[in-house]
Amino acid sequence: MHMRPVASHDERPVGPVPQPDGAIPAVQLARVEKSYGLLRPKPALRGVSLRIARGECYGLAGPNGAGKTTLIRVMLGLIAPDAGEARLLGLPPEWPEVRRRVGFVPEAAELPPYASPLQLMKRWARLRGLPVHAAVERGESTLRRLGMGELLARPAHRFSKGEKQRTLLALSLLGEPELLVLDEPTDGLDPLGRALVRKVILEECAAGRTVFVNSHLLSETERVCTRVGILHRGQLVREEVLGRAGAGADERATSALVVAAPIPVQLESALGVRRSVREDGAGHVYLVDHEDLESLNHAIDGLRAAGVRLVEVRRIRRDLEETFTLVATSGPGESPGTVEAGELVDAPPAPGSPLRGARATIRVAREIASDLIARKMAHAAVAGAALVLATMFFALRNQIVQGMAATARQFRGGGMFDDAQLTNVLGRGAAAGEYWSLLVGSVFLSALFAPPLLETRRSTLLLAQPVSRADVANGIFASVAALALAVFGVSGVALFAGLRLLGLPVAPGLLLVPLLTTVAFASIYAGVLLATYLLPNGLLAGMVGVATLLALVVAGNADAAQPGNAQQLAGFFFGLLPKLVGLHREAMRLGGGSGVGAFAIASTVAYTLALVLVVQIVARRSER
Amino acid sequence: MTRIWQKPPGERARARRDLRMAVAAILLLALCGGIWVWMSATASERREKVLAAVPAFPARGQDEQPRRAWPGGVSQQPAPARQAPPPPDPARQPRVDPITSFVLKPAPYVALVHVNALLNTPLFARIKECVPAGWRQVTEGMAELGIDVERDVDRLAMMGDGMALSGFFQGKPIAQNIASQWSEVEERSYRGQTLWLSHNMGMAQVGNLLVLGPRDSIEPLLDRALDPAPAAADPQDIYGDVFVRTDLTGLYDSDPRRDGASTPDAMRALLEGLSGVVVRANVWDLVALSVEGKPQAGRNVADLAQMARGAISLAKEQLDPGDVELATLANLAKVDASKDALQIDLALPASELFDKLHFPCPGAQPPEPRASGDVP
Repeated sequence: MHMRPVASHDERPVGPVPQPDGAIPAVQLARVEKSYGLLRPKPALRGVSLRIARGECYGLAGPNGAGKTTLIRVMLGLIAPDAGEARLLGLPPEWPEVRRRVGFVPEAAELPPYASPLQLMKRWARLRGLPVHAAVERGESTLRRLGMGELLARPAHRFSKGEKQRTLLALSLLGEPELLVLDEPTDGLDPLGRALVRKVILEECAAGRTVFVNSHLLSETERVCTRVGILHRGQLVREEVLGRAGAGADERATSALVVAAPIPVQLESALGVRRSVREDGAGHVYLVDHEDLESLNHAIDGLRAAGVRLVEVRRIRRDLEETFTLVATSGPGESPGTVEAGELVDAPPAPGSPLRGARATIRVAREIASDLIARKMAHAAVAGAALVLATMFFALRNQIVQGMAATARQFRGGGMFDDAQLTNVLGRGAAAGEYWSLLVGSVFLSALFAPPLLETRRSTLLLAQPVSRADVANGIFASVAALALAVFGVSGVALFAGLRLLGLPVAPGLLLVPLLTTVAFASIYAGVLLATYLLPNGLLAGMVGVATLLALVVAGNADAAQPGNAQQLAGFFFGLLPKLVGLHREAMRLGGGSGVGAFAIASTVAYTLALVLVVQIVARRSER
Repeated sequence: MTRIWQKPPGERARARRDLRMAVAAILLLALCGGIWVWMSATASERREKVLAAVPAFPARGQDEQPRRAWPGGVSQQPAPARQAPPPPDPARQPRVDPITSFVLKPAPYVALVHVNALLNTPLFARIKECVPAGWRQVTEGMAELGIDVERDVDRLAMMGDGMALSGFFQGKPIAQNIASQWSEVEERSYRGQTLWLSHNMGMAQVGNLLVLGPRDSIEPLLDRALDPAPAAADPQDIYGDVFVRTDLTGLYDSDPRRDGASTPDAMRALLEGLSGVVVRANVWDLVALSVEGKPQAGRNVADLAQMARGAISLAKEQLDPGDVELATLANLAKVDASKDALQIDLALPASELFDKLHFPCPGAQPPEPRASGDVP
């Protein structure tokens, strides 16, 4: 079935012919089902099957709440279906290497606010493992095509919604993806912005890239796609091929008249036009059935004579329109039928690198660290640590500074300590103060870090990159731990220098105390991250961190914590725990210029690794 | 190459992967728990072993409890239990024998060693193993004088200018035998006792007591042994396998070279605050030491106790957590300042002594024959 356009608004290219049956489709869904809610599951997708060939420009339309975004998330492997299977380019969509070949513009995604498009291009190129220079050049060119040439250095938080969408589109094209998935790409854009986005989509379609466009505006999908599917109450009820030669002649012609203001009902009857259930960002849509151009022009003349401002006239598919109308007006339980697709076809899996996970973790950690630094979180953390240290110094100045000096005078005068012993005593005291003040302070900071990083609007962009959920969990953990280490390191150097300036001899080993503080912090943060995956809430995360800290301090001072005192069972359970008190002792030994014992460090690291493994499992399970 | 999808959903593969990771996490934790339990069990054994080797801290009245050699070998006998001794009976006047009287009288420095008790300790057994030739020389030399060191000698008292030795000497011409080895021996009577005098030395035997000292001091030494103890002196103050009392005079002043050279700073700082010190030690495999000191005028005993506690705390914190033996001994350290006197209890490790003796002792076993090609 094919309709020739009556107006120049129909910008569809001549549609690419789907690949031969033997080729692996770009997208395959087989009887996918997905429900939300535990007690009363509400079905979002009900047995959806779909197949999109390479090079196709496919549009998914449907009213709000039809399940379109859920379908995209299942299709991209961002959530796991309850039943059925999905394939992207012949491979399971949750495979990170598949996501490398896919560009995605999520609906209402949150761009990192303090980065400019150019900075984002660099960060995205690193995140996708692309050569940065070449990728940024291409991205800049795409941004210019999208009319963003003047805004390359402007931070994203100053962008309008349309500018953000165009930036996201440029980012999604960064890796020359084989498949481009756009979720409501023109939603909220002004006419000019929509036209620019449409233009780029059409260019990509014409270049042979497979494009999947989801929109609740049927008009948007009609204009750029060669095939359209309509989703209704979680079912794909109709698919139509558009704009392709030989698709069949339309029996009757119908045109859509987009007007700026609603038409009075009397005028509708007089001119033979009817209000469409479609929505269109440009105005109100009225339909007119006509046998020839004369009757169409008669309707247009009547509207103009009545002073109606005409925005757009375009030819539409009457049968598609009827389906969409039926879909939009049908009640619960009514179903116009479902579309069936063939069996899934798999591609041979590409050999994976054993270091893929580590590389992906590093890429994610760099991205998150860049974001935290751009948001001045690192500055805030350093300032917080400095505040904690300063408060500690101020509150305990007599005990710490004057007390140390007095101690030095008293003991030196009394011959109690020689220089080495004095250095030992002072270093141990300073190490203990540094360890506990920074650790307690950072536990509160960890509550600030974890929940925002897992916020859906924020993490969707990250998960659409060639990384797994486990990589993202590892990346969050690594970046926060690295940030903590940096903060502790700066604070440790400041403390060391401050004490030396005060004339108090402290051993250089004090500079290594931040390493032990980081080990202790990481063990607590792993628990905070796990709690956040289970129940993303900042308050809960903070409570978990504080409770863990208190419990471990109590456990570390218990009888079971002393070798030789531990009963078998109590000793075994204590052995599982991080040794915060033990690390405190090791920190004091370092501060005093002695060597450190390995067990407290090794067992705390082992606990942290074990917890990170559990976090990975929970992160992967969160797809469900 | 393509194939038709035949496998069930990848849920099973995901579950297998999650299971593998969960097992890895559990193994990682279990390993730490297991190591801790193993360390704890080992530490527990080591701790018990150390505690069994520590004798009771010296306590008034402890000599009422006889100490006898362990029939199965002294080194296998546990140390006498650390328990509070029975309270002294004020109505009962303890017998003051000459050597106790010798120690009770005032002197800048006096020490009493329970030789018989020391000889029956594992520590001394090891020392004998370590220096067999030296021990043989001592026993043979003493036997020539008529003394069986391991059976006859009871206590040895020392002071700055002489010493007294008590034991089973009644009826044995020990002093005479010793004097026979001197040249130009002069015999003289003093307070009914025979004095043997050489050019430099003097000696007397009073029943089971031998008194030895410089020729000019032998009479005062004999007076010291024969005169009754001062009424104010309490013989029950003298307890412990080793007893040392000193007023610390001349500890630093008399020999400037010693000042600060051999005494650790912390100890020196403490000693300088004290007017006199009584050191008591019980010996078994290890040494339980009790130091009692009176503060000098103007010094607060609480301050001194605080210094001692600080020094002990510093020493404890510097210990390697894996050194269970030292940590156990350090935990026995105690400072008390409740009776206007500073009292410090310390359990001393013998490892340093054994290290010096190259324990296990080379003398305990015959040296292995050297290979002919070995370079000496």
